[in-house]
Parts: sequence; C-alpha cells; structure tokens
Amino acid sequence: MANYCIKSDTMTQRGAHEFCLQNEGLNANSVSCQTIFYQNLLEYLQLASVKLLIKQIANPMNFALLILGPPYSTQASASALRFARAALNGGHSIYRLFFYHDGVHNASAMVTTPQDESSLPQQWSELIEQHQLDSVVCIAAATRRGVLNEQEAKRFGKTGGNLSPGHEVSGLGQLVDASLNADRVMTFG
Amino acid sequence: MDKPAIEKPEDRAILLVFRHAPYGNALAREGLEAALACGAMGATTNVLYINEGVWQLVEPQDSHAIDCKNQAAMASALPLYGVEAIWIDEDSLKQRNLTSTDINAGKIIDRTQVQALLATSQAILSF
Amino acid sequence: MLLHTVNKSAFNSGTLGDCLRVVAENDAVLLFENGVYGALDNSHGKFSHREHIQKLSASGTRFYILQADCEARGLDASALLPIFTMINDADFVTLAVEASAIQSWY
Repeated sequence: MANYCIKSDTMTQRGAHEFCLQNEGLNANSVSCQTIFYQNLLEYLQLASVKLLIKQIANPMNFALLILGPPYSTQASASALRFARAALNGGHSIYRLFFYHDGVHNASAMVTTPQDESSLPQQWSELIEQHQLDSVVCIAAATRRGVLNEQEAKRFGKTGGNLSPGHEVSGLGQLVDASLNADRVMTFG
Repeated sequence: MDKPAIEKPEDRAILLVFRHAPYGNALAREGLEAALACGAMGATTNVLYINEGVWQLVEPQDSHAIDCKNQAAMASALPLYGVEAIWIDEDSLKQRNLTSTDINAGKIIDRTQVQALLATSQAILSF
Repeated sequence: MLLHTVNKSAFNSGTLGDCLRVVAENDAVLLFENGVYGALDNSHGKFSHREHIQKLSASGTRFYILQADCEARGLDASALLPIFTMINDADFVTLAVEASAIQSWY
C-alpha cells in the first residue's frame, strides 16, 4: 500500500486523476475525469481501484514563488523548481509562479540543451501543465530580455514569439497580488 | 494586463528588502519597480535598504554616462506612489562610512528595529 | 519565527555574515546551494562564522543545511558544524510553512 498526501480542499479530480495515473500506472481511459472535489474523491479512487491511504495534511498552504535567477547560469531556478515539486508533493499548492529579473529566461522556448542535460524551461512548463499552475512572467523584465509572446512579438515587429507553454506575460500587479494573497512568499535569487 | 482590482487582506504588509548596489546589476532597479507597483496597488508596503542596498540612496548620482536611469531619483518617487515606510539599516551605513547627510530618503533604524520589521512582515520580497 | 535562506559561499561573499547579523533568537537559518560551505566546521580566519553561529545556536536559533546541495559538493556531514541539521527538500517546505515569512539572502 502506498501512502500519499492529498490536499483536501483544492485538489480537483483532475489533479488526483493525473496523480494516480503517474503513481499507479493506470490506464487513462479507465476512469472518467470531471471536476469534482474531495467528497467524491474517495469514491473516485475506489472506482479506480487505487489503493491509497488518504491523509489530509494538517496545514496546507499556498506558496508564491518569485524566481529571479536564469536557467543554467546559477542554481536559483533549479532550487525553486525542486522546492515547487516538494511543496506540491507535500500536499501544498502554488498560488503563483512569478518570473522576474533574469528569471524570465526560464520562460524562453528558445532554450536548447544537449540531449544528456535537462532543460529547466521545459521542466517548468511540464510542472505548470501537470499541476495547472498559474505562472506569470513579468512583461517589462521579459521584453527587455527578449522573451515575448506572439502578441508582443507582433506588436514590436519581431519575427516570432518565444514564450514557453504554460506561462502568461503580465505586469508586476500579479506579484503584488501574490504577495498579498499567498500564505508564503519565497524568493529564489 | 493587470487585473484591475485585487483582494487585500487588511493586516497584510509587504516588505521589500533591497540588498544590492545600483547599476552593476538590475536587481536594484527591478526591486524598486516592484515596490512602486506595491504602492500603486494600495498595498501596505515597507522598504528596507540594507547591506549593499544603501548605496542606492546615496546622492548625488549621475548615471547619464553609463546610460542608466538615476536610481536615487527613481527611489524618490516612492512616496508619490504611497510608499512612505522607507527604512535604512544603520550598521550598513556605518560600515560604508555613510551618514544621514549622504542619503536622500528614509528613516535610519538599528539592528533591533530591523529584526522587528522582518518579524512583523508576512510577505518578504528579497532583491 | 523567520526562515532565512543563504545561498552564497561564506568564502567569497559577505551574505552569510549579513544574514547572521540580523537573525533573531527564534529564527531558522537554512544554508543551500553554495551557501552550504558556510557550515564547514574547521574554517578559519575572516571567512569563519563558527563562533557567531554557535552563539546564535545557544540562544535558540536553529541551523539547517540542504542535503542535496551538500552531496553534490562532496561535503560529508562529519565535516560540518554539528549544530547544523541536514534536511531534505520536503523539510525545506515544512520550514517555510512553519515560518511567518522567508527572507532570502543571495
């Protein structure tokens, strides 16, 4: 029997579904996926024949991560990624990822790594997709550093956008909002 | 685009800690822009200049030749954006042979007051 | 309780010293990334913060070090000040949950 922590109030069936598939190797077609909450989760897991011990964690929190470091050059982005994974695995949630300063390079789809090295921008995009995270790249910081979505690229007459999947570009207001509303704010610089 | 309205828990204060010298690194400027955004959105905001961050406030600055915006002049906009709580670490000034006459804004506080400021902040943005 | 994180080596940066100067009795300090070098027991001279760390520890400050970053750099637990508790990523999250706020020194 596996022990897993599932956060009760915010983890939707979608999240649980993916979680189970990943950890128990279930067939994605064996269960239907609708947005329901914890009350039905137990039933869902029984349907899916997944042996899980659901433990409601005592103090689930919402984290906001401010990521200031670029990929590759320093360890900050990799540390933030590991922290985000550990928080999600521990049953916590991420209120928002905010990429600012040199951290905006983590949202560049142009980052290309050798085959035997992992790509941080790709890992961020995968984490965002997997957990449906809210990820904001500061538009002013990103534009200065050459990270633009399609719309911005067009607006400034550039050949094409290069924003990685999962991110949206927005203003510093999103950082202020996250600072006011997340339970904990972490800076990775 | 920014969402126009934000929910603002009443007792929540954001502290921005500025620890880096201006110009050599964009942290000083981008940190200040974050502080201005906090003020513009009506958040209760504290700013702490400490360690190398105190250089940001030294006047006069003339950054024309290095093609950068004047950091001290930008910082002087903080009160215009509603950020009045600007604190400067006393020890950091002393270590750099600076006094209140060298800097253009803020209130100088001692180590104990810095500790209290950190301890009472719910969200710290470190730049 | 405040959580302080330090990611710069004490041997080429004043970051750890800057942090320790304002750490309070009930706070926790986590060394990670290159910050882990600041936990070495037998460091000497101007780079050593051993006495300051020991003094803070005696007054109640807790000191932690991130295991993955130690292992990556070949730092064995036996080379570190015994005051430091080795923690993993999940423990890092727990520390952040317990803290009222997190100040990142970098």
